[in-house]
Amino acid sequence: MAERAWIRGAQRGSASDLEALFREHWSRAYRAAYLVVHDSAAAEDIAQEAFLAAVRALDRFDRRRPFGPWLHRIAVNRAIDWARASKLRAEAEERDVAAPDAPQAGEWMLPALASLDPEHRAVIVLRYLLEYTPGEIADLLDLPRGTVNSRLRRGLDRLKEGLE
Amino acid sequence: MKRELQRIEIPGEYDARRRTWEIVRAAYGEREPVTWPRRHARQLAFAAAAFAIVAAAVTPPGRSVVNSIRDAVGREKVAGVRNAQRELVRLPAPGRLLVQSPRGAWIVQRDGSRRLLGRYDDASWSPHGLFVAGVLHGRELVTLEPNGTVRWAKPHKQPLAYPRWSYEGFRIAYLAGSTLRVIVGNGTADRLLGAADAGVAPAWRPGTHEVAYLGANGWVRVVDADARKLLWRTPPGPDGVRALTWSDDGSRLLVLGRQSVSGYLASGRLIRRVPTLGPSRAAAFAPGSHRFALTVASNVLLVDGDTMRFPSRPLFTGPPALGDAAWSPNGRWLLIGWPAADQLVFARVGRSPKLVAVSNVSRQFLSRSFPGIGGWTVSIAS
Repeated sequence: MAERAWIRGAQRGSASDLEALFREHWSRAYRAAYLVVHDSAAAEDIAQEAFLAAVRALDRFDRRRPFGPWLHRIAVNRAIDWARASKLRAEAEERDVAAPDAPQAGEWMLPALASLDPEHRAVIVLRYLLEYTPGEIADLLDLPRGTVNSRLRRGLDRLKEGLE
Repeated sequence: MKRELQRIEIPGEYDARRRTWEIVRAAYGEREPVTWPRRHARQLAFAAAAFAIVAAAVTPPGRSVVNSIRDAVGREKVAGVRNAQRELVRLPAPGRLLVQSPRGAWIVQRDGSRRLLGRYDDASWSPHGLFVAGVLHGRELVTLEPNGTVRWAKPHKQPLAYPRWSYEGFRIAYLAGSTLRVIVGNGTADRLLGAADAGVAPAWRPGTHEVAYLGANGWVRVVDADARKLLWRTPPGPDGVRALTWSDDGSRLLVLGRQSVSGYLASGRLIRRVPTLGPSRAAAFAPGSHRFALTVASNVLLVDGDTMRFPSRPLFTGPPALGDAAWSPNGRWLLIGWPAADQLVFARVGRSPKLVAVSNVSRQFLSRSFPGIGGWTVSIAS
């Protein structure tokens, strides 16, 4: 209910309501993007783009719909695109890419995630960080539900292999 | 898993958050103030839609829409056109109908009397309505008179489908397995023409022995059936091909895709390819015209085949989806199948539009499922 009020307030020009929305959602959007692209600067750009898109579409936004999934759809899809493009660039230019930022906690998880394709990372992040159901993930990524389930299973299997 | 994903520390997260908020706040400050009409666009659109529905109720095509909305909301059932006749007692225009139900092929006379010809599938009229061609038990090509008398039958090893007559009745093209074959109208000289897609009926170009069909590789091919010569071909669209149909004068070919319709000149030059913005079902040229009826999802559109431009409003709307369409021989009435409402809808086209509908169609043709429309041909006397 608070979220609807924030959206209504932001639509009417209240910067404090927009800030409340930002506080509520930025961290999760940024983290989700980071876990897909493994690059903090890129994750910042992606989360920023997602919020700017939200500001541009604010007047048209349907308050009955939850804001989070809408924002996460933009952020995760852009993160997948970025990761794919980054991989292609690295292959095409045959140059060293910057080493990923070194985490201080959860350090076993990040390299294990890095071994997955961006598409597999995305469904793992949407399922286990943002806690969407497979059906909701299918909607967010415009994928068949079976594809989401198979990516989840394959992703988890490969994470386990990586940890072993 | 969630805990592990949340525990990962991202360097510079605090600064990233601060920088992003500054940019978002600046963008928010620069956005244009929302005007009253824009802020209330939703309410205005709703009011406009309500007005449109009320306005639609006063026109015959609109009545079906109103009924459908009421039923969808109230009874979750499509009732169809209001005041539909319970029996098909008379066709609104001269001619005879060929109807295809799971029980077989039926002929409906102008006065509404109907005759079950037999268990024939994919039945079609000969050009002047003197004969019917159909497939018996899936493996026998049969031509018969409208009274049910069989003229000839030709059995095949392969499954048969879609017999279609040439303009004067001297040739019949049909699909046998994954091939297109052509047989002379008296049942002789059966010849293989080429590999074909078994799901799309061939279409004869009026006034010629040229036939358009969908090749096995997905290309639309137009061949001279007598010379067995390829005249032209065109690659498939991304949405495949659902049906092929020629205009009466043979100068236009429509290629109906699942989500598009393409118009071609007889030379093979593309006029225009237009997305239908919905699943297409059927297309039929009006007799003596380049205008065609196009069934897309729940709408029937009358499209100008010369420009391929869509009209601003549909001729008829019947949610959730409409079926086959066939023109009366005089081109004044369009027959539309509406399976969800179990109705046949006759729409008069022109300056004084009118709707006549018949309900309980499945029962009248002794079937549990909605029948298909095989064609509307001239009366024998005419």
